[in-house]
Amino acid sequence: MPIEILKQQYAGKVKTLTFGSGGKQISLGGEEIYPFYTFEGSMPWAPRIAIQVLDYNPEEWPEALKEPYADVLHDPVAWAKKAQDVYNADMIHLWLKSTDPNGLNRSAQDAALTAKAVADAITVPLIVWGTANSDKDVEVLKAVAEACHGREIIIGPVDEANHKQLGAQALANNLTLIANSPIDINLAKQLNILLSNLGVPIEKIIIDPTTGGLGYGIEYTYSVMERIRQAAITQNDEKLQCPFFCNLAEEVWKTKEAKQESGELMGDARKRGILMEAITASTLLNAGADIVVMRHPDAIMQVRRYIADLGGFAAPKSAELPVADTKKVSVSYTPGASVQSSVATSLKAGSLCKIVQIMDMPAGLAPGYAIALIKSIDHDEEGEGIVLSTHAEAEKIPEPVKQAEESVTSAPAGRREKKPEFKPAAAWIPLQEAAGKAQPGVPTEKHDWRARISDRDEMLKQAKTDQRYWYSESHGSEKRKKPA
Amino acid sequence: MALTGMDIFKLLPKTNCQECGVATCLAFAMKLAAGQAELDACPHLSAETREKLEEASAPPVRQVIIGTGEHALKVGGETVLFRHEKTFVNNPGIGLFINDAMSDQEISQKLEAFKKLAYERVGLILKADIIAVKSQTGDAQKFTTLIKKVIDAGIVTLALMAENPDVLAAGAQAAAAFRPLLHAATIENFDSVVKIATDNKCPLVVKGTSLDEVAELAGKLAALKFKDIILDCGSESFVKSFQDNVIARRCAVVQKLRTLGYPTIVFPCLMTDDPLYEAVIASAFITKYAGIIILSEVQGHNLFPLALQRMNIYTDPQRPMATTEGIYEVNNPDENSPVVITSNFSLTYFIVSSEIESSRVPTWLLIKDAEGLSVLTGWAAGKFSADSIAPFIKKSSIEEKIKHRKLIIPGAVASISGELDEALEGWEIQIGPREASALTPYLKNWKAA
Repeated sequence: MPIEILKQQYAGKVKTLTFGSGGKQISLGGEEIYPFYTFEGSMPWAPRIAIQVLDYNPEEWPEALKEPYADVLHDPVAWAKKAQDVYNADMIHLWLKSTDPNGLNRSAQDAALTAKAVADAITVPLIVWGTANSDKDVEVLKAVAEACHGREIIIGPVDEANHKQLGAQALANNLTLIANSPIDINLAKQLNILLSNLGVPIEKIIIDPTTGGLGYGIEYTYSVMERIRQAAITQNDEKLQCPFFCNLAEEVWKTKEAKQESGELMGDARKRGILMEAITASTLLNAGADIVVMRHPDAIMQVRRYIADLGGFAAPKSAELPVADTKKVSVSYTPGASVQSSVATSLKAGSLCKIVQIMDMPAGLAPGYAIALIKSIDHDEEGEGIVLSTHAEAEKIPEPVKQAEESVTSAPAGRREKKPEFKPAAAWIPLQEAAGKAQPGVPTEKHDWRARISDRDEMLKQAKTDQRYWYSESHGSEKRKKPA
Repeated sequence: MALTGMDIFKLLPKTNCQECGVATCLAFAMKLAAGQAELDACPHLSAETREKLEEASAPPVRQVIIGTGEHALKVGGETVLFRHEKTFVNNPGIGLFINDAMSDQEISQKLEAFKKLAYERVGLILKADIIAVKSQTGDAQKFTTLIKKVIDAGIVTLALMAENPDVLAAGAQAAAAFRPLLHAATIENFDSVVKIATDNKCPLVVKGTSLDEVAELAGKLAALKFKDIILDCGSESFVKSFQDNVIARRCAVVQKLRTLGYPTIVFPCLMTDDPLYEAVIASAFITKYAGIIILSEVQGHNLFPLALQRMNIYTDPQRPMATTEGIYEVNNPDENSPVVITSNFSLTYFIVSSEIESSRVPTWLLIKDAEGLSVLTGWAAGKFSADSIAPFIKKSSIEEKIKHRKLIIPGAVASISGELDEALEGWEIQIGPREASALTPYLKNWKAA
């Protein structure tokens, strides 16, 4: 006898935010279910991975993390381009850490120049991030917003202390804000209300609940995110229907466990760092994260695959891929990308390989890339790696194909003719369909708090007395059951 | 489910004999309802009443114990969907998969790693819990030899897996003393495998190709008064298995569906060939409801992050994790190193100690017991106040370790510096930064004299 499955009753939906225009459009949010519960509703957009770029050379990073970016760490522009072009970042997270008054204390003007240069160099959305120093951030992010006027950038962190100044910037320069509150549902809501009162539409706000690292308080973030999302989609609390932003990379990589050398007890340092980052991300994704800020390309690849698998942003099967033959084909290893084995590392761009099997085609990877079991012809080795599988991107291979007539015929030119056969992963389709339909940056529906509230006194009243949350009868960080 | 104190009271003897240690039967009933007392404390319950009460107070996901004594693995016992509602009760077991087709060397390496890897954190030991031994060859002899090898290595928390009931029976007998989990009863072999489990008093996995089938088998088994059941939805697909776990938990907790009210077992080791991705898959099952998670390998780089994640997710949100009070030496301090004090809330401790560690400044870190509260909360509750810090410093023997008498207190409690100055004779109180992230420059500029 089939069991009867109780469906969760959902009452609300996270707002969809769309950035960019034309073919470069990217949307996030829109969930009307708990994270990845796709059996009972829709999660229209895959959560996005923002690759972090710093505005100074981070000598303090562990070796395993520096290695994939070794050639660009000194140059934020080159770094951002590599993150976008080689590691297929959905977004770039530019952390202006060098402006920290307790650190290098660089000027707002310097920061604005950096941000402008990065913004000009990339086509994916840009998040510009301050140092969580309320005053300095106002100065820096204001300069950035003015320098980048005309581009819809995302800025943060916006906190209670500087929300007025940064809210004004958002209105003046059409920015999206990331509102940061200290792991508390009521404070998150209050900040959103305060921003709304300034006139910032709720569709221009992303919630940063404050991210704790694995082993360093991630459980607090996890639960507060679950609770906020619950309020947003089961209680239809409009003030909390914003996507989540989780700034996890620094929280992972600053810990001593991520920096520790390889050893018997702690295992391989590189793999440990990758897994700590990937598992932190997977945990937060399961609590509802819409943007995860990450660093290591291999961790990113793991998380892409996780999102594709769990969210049903399915990759095409190997049979659908035009390259799924076992003929000798020219394969380009993208330097530094997935490194599953020795063969992948030893391969150079343009090396001659045999694709034994296409193993996966994660939705997050750009069309043309796939994870495959490859056999090197030059080295007689076998292994798994990211290969450039087909068409357009092939033109970018820096080194010419080396040898063998057979491979030449099936090399880029030959296969480019098959381009129309390429079926993009499901996750790509909505993006293409969305082009033209979505209205970048403009709220699709009028938020209704203004309709209900006529004057400032009422507004303040609303801010102070609107529904508040507590976890349960007996405990929780929030026991305030009465209005503030 | 969830009887009130009054419901329970009606079933008690109402003699107020106080043998349970509580003044009245009503008070005892209230304590039972709040989960603060054990039913066993009352010596006067009839068997019938006891069963009734046990049934009524059993958690929606039944608790199942695998193994015996100190090596027993407790799974299930869960009562909620979200950890903020109450707490997740029993850590899911992390298991290691081996089979009898692997080479001796491979087996030895795996067992070695399984035994060796353990991490101490806030007084807890994080480690893998169970070994899943599978008969790959179908040869009973090989299967039992392997099981004996595992037991000889001192590992006695086991899951035994065999397709052939005869082979499974041989395995169950070989490990009978240790109450292994048997895998699995299916539609085809139901009667024979249930008999093996009953004869050997072992917990049993029911495996089906869908949740419906699993629920039906579990119901059939429960009807035989068999209680120690684990569910296997039989899927090698990550997403299917994830959804099954979510649905099973929801049916059990919200709908009180008894037939799905058992812990589950999942096999990330069968879901991918990439060992790193396998760990990422396992992490999804730690957040979403698996009871036992079987991996193909256990090494420092995958076990440590997973065990850490599991500890975090299964931390009781009602009770802050605490670190032991005392003096912690960071970066080999000497008699001229700074002395920093903070509360014993584990998160505070981790963040402060890790910040000091990365500053590379040799420092004495004093952890004061504030009942697991953070600095500000502890101060507000009087657990991190001048009159409690002063005696702690005096009895901590830190004075024997240093030449100077300077104490750095958290910036958040700057207001206690005057009071502390008076209470701690001979000491100079210095106010440190509010945030741990500012400790590095602070400590680098600090001078003993």
